[in-house]
Parts: sequence; structure tokens; C-alpha cells
Amino acid sequence: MRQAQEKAWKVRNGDRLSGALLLAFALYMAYEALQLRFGSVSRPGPGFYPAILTVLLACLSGAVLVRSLRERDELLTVSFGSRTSHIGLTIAAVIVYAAVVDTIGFLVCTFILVLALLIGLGKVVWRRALLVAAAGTVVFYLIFTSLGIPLPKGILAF
Amino acid sequence: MLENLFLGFSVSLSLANLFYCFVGVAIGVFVGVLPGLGSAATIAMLLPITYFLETTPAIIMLAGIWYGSMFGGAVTAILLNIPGQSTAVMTALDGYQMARQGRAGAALGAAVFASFFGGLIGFVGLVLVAPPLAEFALRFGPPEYFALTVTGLTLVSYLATQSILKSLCAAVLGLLLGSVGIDPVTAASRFTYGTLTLQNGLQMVPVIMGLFGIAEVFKMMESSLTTPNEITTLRGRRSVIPTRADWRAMAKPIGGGGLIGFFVGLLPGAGAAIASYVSYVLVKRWSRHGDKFGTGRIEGVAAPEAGNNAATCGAIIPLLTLGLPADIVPAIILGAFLLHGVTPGPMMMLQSPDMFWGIVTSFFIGTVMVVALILPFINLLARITELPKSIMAPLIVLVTLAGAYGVNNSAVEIWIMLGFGVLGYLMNKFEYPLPPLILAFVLGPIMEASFRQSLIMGQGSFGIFFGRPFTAVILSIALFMVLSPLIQLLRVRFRVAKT
Repeated sequence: MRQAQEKAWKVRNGDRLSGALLLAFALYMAYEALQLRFGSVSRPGPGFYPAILTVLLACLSGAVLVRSLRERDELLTVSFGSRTSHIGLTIAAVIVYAAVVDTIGFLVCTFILVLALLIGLGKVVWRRALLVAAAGTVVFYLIFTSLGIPLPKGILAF
Repeated sequence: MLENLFLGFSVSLSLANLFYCFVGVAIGVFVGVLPGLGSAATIAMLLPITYFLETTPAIIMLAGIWYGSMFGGAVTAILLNIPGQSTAVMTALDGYQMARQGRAGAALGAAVFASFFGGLIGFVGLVLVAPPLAEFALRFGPPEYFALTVTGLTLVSYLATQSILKSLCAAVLGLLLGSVGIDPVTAASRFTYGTLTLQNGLQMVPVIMGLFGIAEVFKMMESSLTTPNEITTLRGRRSVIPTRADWRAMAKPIGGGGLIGFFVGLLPGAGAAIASYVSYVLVKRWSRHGDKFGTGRIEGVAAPEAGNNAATCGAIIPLLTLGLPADIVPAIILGAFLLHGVTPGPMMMLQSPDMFWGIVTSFFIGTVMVVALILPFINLLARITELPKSIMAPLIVLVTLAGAYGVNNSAVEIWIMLGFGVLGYLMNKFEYPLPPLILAFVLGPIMEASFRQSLIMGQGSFGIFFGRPFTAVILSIALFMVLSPLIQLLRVRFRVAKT
């Protein structure tokens, strides 16, 4: 077995990062929530409940952050392996997929996407990949449409 | 009591319901065996499809997927040391060791029978506990529901096996996500950014499929998809029936595991996975051979398997009697009820006893089906575990894409699902637990609505929460849970300061 040293992006203090991100998110949501009418405690407006939640989240995530800054020994190390690029590519592919599936149609788009994943990431032999992609796409299309869930026909609409 | 059971069985033994029960159990076992696609994502995906079924068969089928998947998860846990479901993590400890010692068959048999008897114990508990609880709940009003949801969410956060602080973060995040959409009282749009899709709020199906389906796919992609699964050679796969010695060893763990599992399942947030963990730990502590657990003791397989099946019966009780889901899958099943225009709760037992008891009795029938119909196919099931990740991951993506689109006939849901996939993946990596997020997402709207209704009832004063005894008690439990770590902290500090 190859003992390749995998390049990984390591986050040394995971809680610090997650705490900071959540805090930032909470503050942003607090800003958004305050755009709505807050109302009073006995007559809450639409912004009442979300605003309280954002304050809570800010406190909690702040606590996570603070705790991570004071911790010396047991830091949570989060590592993103070299394969993270695969994940990124898949995300990009699905974003594009969702953008075009209505126009081009489920069968064509899904077939291409699944084929790409099989060959590109799974390194499946192209004959088998074609078979699995085609069979899988058609089977699930038939299952879903026969159960009454329409999937876009796109360019194959006739 | 007996008439209720009679009514229930007459419903669940109808041809249609039997069929859907079988379909559910079969899908469940299959999905449970597949590492990657869990019961939560599958049930969420089949939600829109159940629209075309009547309510009772729909719920029966979804429940079948649920407890069927627990058995399926045990198969991969035993054969591959990869639990197909979180409920099978403890089963893998002794199960895989047994397989390596050539006793895979016995382990699988133990899992099946333990699941069966555990489910039986849970069923008895369900029949005994549900009706009085529903009767009691008839008197509940908004303040009681508010208290229950708050305490339930607090309990979920405290039962999380990771940091409590992070669980609370996840819960509050879930509450925020649940508030997206139109505010029911004032009809103002919250966090919708002007898009029509978000007006209805975030839909359960893309959210769950993202958090469980897509996130799992990402996790699978982390290690190369091309590494083959290591499978133990399946000598001794033939004799799946446990020996008499095995039965003697398993009897107490099954009984204990079943009882423990049922009561743990009742607790909000403690689902089948935690139930299997607690069952394993407690049975190990009480067993004479406790220190040998983990080396291939059959008790180590029987206890968690009995526990997780009993827990499904326990976990469905709050949903059926109070209308409040106590675990992730019941939360999704709540979605199915709502899709059919049925609000589960204490009234359901009174107004639709056929539905209530039909669903309850289906738990028994489904458990029987797992043994009777799945046992002969164990060899085939074991084969499924040989399906390589390189093929499985893209297929899971395929299924989730179709499911997400199908919810609203809109590709935007695919983006939403993807977003939650990323969130779920990151939460796993940074060790934030998912159950508090999901339960908060589902319970949040109920909690807010009860809160506001209570205030209206109490004419703006908070006194209404403390005036009613049940509410006050439940809320003080929540308060106690929130304060107790603080008290502990102060105690430690005080002691340190003294020295």
C-alpha cells in the first residue's frame, strides 16, 4: 500500500474558528432581525423572537470562542484532507446542475453529473460508469415520475 | 385495552397496510445496510411520495423504514466494522469481533432476535404508556406545550455526547433556521431576502437530505472513493440461529437492553442511538462477563440491538400522544402527518383511534416481518455491503437530487439542500451535534407559537407560566439543567480558591 504523505490543511484550534464564524453569523442575523419590528415583551412583534435568538447565539458562540482561546492542551484539530478539492468540485458541479436542470432536463443533466462523479472521483472504468449512470438515472426517473413527482424534461420534452 | 388492540390489528393487518409495512421494512433494511444513506435522509426523501397514500399506510411505511434500518445497520456493523447507522455503533464492538472469530452468523442471528424481542418489549411499553399519557395531555394548553418544547430542547442539548455549549449553539441555530419564512401571527416576512421560495420557510426534506445525505457523501469523499471495503470472510454465515448457550447468555441483556432502550427512547433528544449506547454500557456494567465485552461477547450484540428497537417504540410515543417529536425520525414523521393534514396529539387517539392503534400495532407487525422475511435473505444483504463507495456516492447524489427537486418542483431546493450538506459536513468536522439542530428546527415554530398564544392567554403577563403547576414544574426542570453546570463551575472555583 502506498504510504503517500497526504497534504492536509489543518486548523489547529477548531473551536476558535467555529466560535468566531458563529459569532459573526449571529451578529449579522441580529442586524437583520432588528430590521423587523421588535414590539414589546407582552406584545411581541415579528422581530422579537429572532432577535432574542440571535443574542443567545452570540453569547453561546462567544463562549465557545472565549473558551477556545483559554484552552492550552486539548485543542480540537480539524484537518481537511487533500480530497477536499473533490468535495469542492462536487459542490460546484451541483450548483451548475441546479441552474440548468430545468432547461436541459433531468435525464440529460443527471446522467452527465453522475457519469462525471463516477469517472472523475470514483475512478470507475468508463464502460461500467456509463452503465451505472444510465441505468441509475433512468430507473430513478421512472420511479419518481410513476409515483407522481414530475422531474423536468427539458430538451427532451416532446 | 383489548378492544383497542383488536381495532389496531384489524387495521394494520389489512392487505394494503401489510404491503406498505413490508415495503417500508424492506427499504429500511436495505438502506440500513448501505453505509452513507441513512434512515433519516431516506424517510425525508420519501415524504413527498407518501402524499399519494392515505395517512395510515404512509406512516406505517415510514416507521417500517425506521426500525428496519436498525437491523440493516447491524449487518454492516458486524460484517464490516462500519455501522450503517449510528444505532449500530455499539453493535460493531462485539459483532465485528465475533465475525473475525468466524461467528458472523451467530452475531447476525443474535442481532435479529435481540431486535425482535427488544421491539416486543418496546411494543408492550408503547401499548401501556401511550393511552394514559394521551389522556393526561388532553388538558394541555399552549403554556404546557411551550414548557415541554423548551425543556425538551434543553434536554436534547444536555444529552449530547459532545460539548453542551456546542449543542446549545446548534439548537439555537436550528431555532433561527426554523424562524425563516412568514411569521404566522403578523404575516411579516422573516429572513426571506425577497425570494418566493423562502416565504414558506425552509422545507424539511432538503434540509434533512442535505444534513444527512449530502454531508455523508462528502464524508465518504474524504478518503479516496477507490479504497475497497474490507470484508471479513464469512465463514459460519450459514448457522444464523443462535445455539442454546447463546440464548442463555442473551436473555438478560435482551430484557435489560429492551427496558432501558424503551425508557431512554421516551426522553426527548435521546433517540435510538443513545438508547443503544446506554443499553450496552449498563448491561456491560451489570454483567458477570462485563470486562470481556468488546472481544466478541454475544451479549455485546444483543443488548444494543434490543435497546435500539425498543427505543423506536419509546420515541414514537411523544409524537403520537403529544404531537411533539422526541427524536429526528419522529420529527420527519411529524412532517408526514402534517402533509396529510393530520395533527398528531392527544386528540388523535380520541378522534381517529383506528389510525392511532393501527400505527401502534404496525410496530409489532413490522418487527415480526424483519425476522420472518429478512432473515432468509441475510446472505444477499451481506452482499450489498460489498458495493464500492465509488459507485454508491454518486448514486446517493443522484437520489438526493431527484428528491430535493421533487419537493417543490424547484431547482432552488437543490441549492438549499447543498447548503445544508455543507453545514452538516462542517458541523461533523467541528464536532457540533446534529440532533439539537434538527429538533430545534422542527420544534421552534411550535415553541414560538405556544409562547405567543400563552402570552395572549395570560394577557401579556409571564405569570401564566408559573401559575399552572405542570408548566411550572417542567420549566423548573429546564432551569435546573441550565443552571447546574454553572453551579458545578462555581463549586469547583470555590474549592480551588479555598486551597
